[in-house]
Amino acid sequence: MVRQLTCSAILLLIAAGYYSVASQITRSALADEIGPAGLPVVYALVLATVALALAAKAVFRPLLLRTADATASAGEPTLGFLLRRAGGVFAIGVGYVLIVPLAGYFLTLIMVIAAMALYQGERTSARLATIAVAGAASFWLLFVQLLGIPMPSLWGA
Amino acid sequence: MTFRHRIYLAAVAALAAAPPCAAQTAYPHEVVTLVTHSSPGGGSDVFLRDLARYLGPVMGVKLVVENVRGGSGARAMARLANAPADGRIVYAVTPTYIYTSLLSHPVNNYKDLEPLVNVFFDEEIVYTRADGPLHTLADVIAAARSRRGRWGASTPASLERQALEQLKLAAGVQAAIVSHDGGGDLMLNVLNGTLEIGVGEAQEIRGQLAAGRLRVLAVFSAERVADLPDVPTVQESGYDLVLTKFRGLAGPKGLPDEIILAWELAIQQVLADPDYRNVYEAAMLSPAFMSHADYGPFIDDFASRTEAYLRRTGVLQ
Amino acid sequence: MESLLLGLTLLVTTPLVLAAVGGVSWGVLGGALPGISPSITMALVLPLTYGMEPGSAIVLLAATYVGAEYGGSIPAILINTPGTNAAAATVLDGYAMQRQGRGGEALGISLYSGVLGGLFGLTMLVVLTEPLARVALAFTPMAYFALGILGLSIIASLSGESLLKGLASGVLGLMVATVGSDPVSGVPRFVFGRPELLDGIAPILIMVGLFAVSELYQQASAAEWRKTAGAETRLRFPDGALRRRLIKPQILGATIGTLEGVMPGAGGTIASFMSYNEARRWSRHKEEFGHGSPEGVAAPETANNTVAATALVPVLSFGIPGSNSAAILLGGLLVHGLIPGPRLFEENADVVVALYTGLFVANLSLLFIGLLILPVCLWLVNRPKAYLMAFIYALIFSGVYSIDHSLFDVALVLVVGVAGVFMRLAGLPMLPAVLGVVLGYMIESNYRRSLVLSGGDHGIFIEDAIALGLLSTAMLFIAGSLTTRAYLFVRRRRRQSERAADG
Repeated sequence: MVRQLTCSAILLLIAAGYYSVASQITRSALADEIGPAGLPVVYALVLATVALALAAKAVFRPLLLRTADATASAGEPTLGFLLRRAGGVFAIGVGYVLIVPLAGYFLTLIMVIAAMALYQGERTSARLATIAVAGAASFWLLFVQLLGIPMPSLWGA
Repeated sequence: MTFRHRIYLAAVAALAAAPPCAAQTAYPHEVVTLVTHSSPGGGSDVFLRDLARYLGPVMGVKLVVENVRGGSGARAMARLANAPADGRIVYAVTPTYIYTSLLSHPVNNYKDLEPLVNVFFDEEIVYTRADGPLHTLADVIAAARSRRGRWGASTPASLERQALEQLKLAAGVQAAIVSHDGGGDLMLNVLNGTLEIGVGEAQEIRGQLAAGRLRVLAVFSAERVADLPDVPTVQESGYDLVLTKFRGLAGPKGLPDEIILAWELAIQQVLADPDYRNVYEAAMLSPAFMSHADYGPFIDDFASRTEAYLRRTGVLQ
Repeated sequence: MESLLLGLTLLVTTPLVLAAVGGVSWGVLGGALPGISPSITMALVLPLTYGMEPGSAIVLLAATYVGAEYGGSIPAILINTPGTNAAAATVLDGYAMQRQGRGGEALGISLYSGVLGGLFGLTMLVVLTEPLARVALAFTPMAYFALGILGLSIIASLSGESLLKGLASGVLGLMVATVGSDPVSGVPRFVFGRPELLDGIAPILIMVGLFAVSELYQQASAAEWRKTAGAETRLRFPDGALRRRLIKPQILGATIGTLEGVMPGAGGTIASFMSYNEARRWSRHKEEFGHGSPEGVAAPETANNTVAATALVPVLSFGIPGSNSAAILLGGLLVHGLIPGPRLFEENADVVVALYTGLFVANLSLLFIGLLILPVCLWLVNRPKAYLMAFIYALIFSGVYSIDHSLFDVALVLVVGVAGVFMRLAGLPMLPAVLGVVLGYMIESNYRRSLVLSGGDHGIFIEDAIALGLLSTAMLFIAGSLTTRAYLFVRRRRRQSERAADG
């Protein structure tokens, strides 16, 4: 129930934030009667209503219907553990975005592949280094050489 | 080398008025990037790729088209504004880049770029269903007097939309002006009768025009179009409205004079190429070369008029 | 008969076959890389076509399109990442099958259904171009709005346990779709000064974020995957019994794909979602949907490959590209001086026949190319989990960057992935959000265009026959699933009280 109420609260916050931005959209003489803010305001109101209904349901539904409580089964990770682990993967992703303009596509890709593999429990080894370099090389061949995508590059060109 | 030399000799022969020194200077770069904000296959993209095919040999360089999409030109302008001004990169401009500069407040706008030369004007035309009741622009206005007219323009804040809003105002009639996602879905809505008229580029509708399913009522150019000699201009029909949808080139600020000169010569020469003429005439593009000296003031004037209009209608505050 | 002969001659005398096979191979590769959309794949070969003769040039582009639409299903099934927009519906049951160790079977079904869909679409294109063009023409802004609403009504049946949560997720998707320039007045909305957001957020970014990136985040804390036995990692073509079972979803997919394909702007994504929903509605094994139903893979994959053929109807008849990919095909036509329109079929009949022949060869070769590369893909995803995750992450970075050469997009996908984790935790289904993102722009722009036309009168939606029909169907769908839900709720409650009385 706590999780459901948190969910409702977050949805309500999103609706409020979205509404406040929507209400500041400029309205020009080229706009129609509904205007650029028309549907966004409706969406915000619908989301707020749904969030409140979800909250009400979380409170009242157990009274109407006994549902099996969704307790974590033995194999399931706890919420905190899940979020911590997910945060690490996210951090690796952010690292890629920050480093790639400096170090270039090829080198950053080696780092990312190695970092992810290590994070997922592989040990530092020659094998890991080989796979990371070979992997980055094949991505580089595929995207830069074959597809001609101008990836951020250390050497400028 | 000899080949390139021959081309430049030809350039001199073709353009007696050009300063002779230009003939000796080969373009200083082997590869030149032409940037467009249009997606591959879009109007500007097709125009540019056609141009590149004929212009490359004339300039003796390899022209590469690069699609820098996103933000209707905002990203392309940023790309150009931050590139070295040595003639290695050039941007294919249309009125879109002015509208985006004014409406979207991008980091870099049209003022950060140097207009290079103009190449074409697109013919903007007013068209209707061939089996519909309207035969002249006067019919359209008369119809809109008796009941609300249904007119269509391609995109929301565009030259075509502006033209229709001005026409509505000048004629003092009631009309719903519906904007679309592009010239294609606008044409469908004219064909199926949802809209009475549409305003768009001639090249977008030429297939249906050739098949006799659409009728042209007026052209928005200053003079009648060679391909449509019987169609009056909007001005002749009594409304002082002329649209100049330009297609030209711009570069980073501070291009060296010899680069500018090379482009001026090459564009004039490629426009005179009979093979290329067949291509662009089929696309209903009118050659409208403008030198660097004329193009800057032209763009500034276009931008200030557009800005005045956008402020008047309250789009800009 | 004459054109058949012409087609045969073309087949043996020109590099048409080469263009078809080459295009398909290239297309499958591009489509299978998430982010490299069919249109990017086609744009990359566009310059090659300039020097070719018109027939081969168009065949190369069209075959690339066919390959790319199919290719998108490979990562959808194997790594929960739709390679293309239209493969998003395939993720649901395809990836569920892969997690059950039935990836080889899912790939077989998608290849088999895709080839059938492509051939069916081609037949429709050849035989029914005229009438199909009339269907495309009949769609007014009112009808497009109604079509969008019909698409959204799927939320009612695809929301899983809670309709309210489905609704919340759908509205979140609609909100994302409002980012960008306003469709009527052109003012920027929810852009926060970022030029990357002016054209809106591409649906593929949301899909890759919600499905693939959030799966990576979540997998980081999950146990090692069960090792699948050797036999299960081989590509398995559907056997007789399964083929019979797939007939119904394939017919549904082909029909819906044909109709959606000819409407510019509707496209493969809506077709695959709608056919997935219909396949579920008419299935005898409803409960399997979402948990690895072969029908749930067959229906959308038939549909989006059918679309790849019928989407050519508006391009050839009107010169109107219904999608970015069709726009590139149009560009290819224009560069060769071929002007689409009714006269194309008379004046350039040879090119049209070449196109049809080429598409036929392309669809057949799709089968062989699939048989060749799918085992490789299966081998790749059966590597140790740590390395697989690392490579998927690298693939996402590379593919997403390729869309617009923008690191902003990569960062956006990472953030959408975080949102996806929270949605999973809160029990919000992903599908309605994806539907909202895909349909939001179409619904809003056409709703407002219609009201501009009518001067604010909502009656215009009833006056338009197609809009009325589609809206009524949507209402029926919604009413139907509400009734089912209410019935299930009441029955569950009664059983509980009976049990309580017994106990």
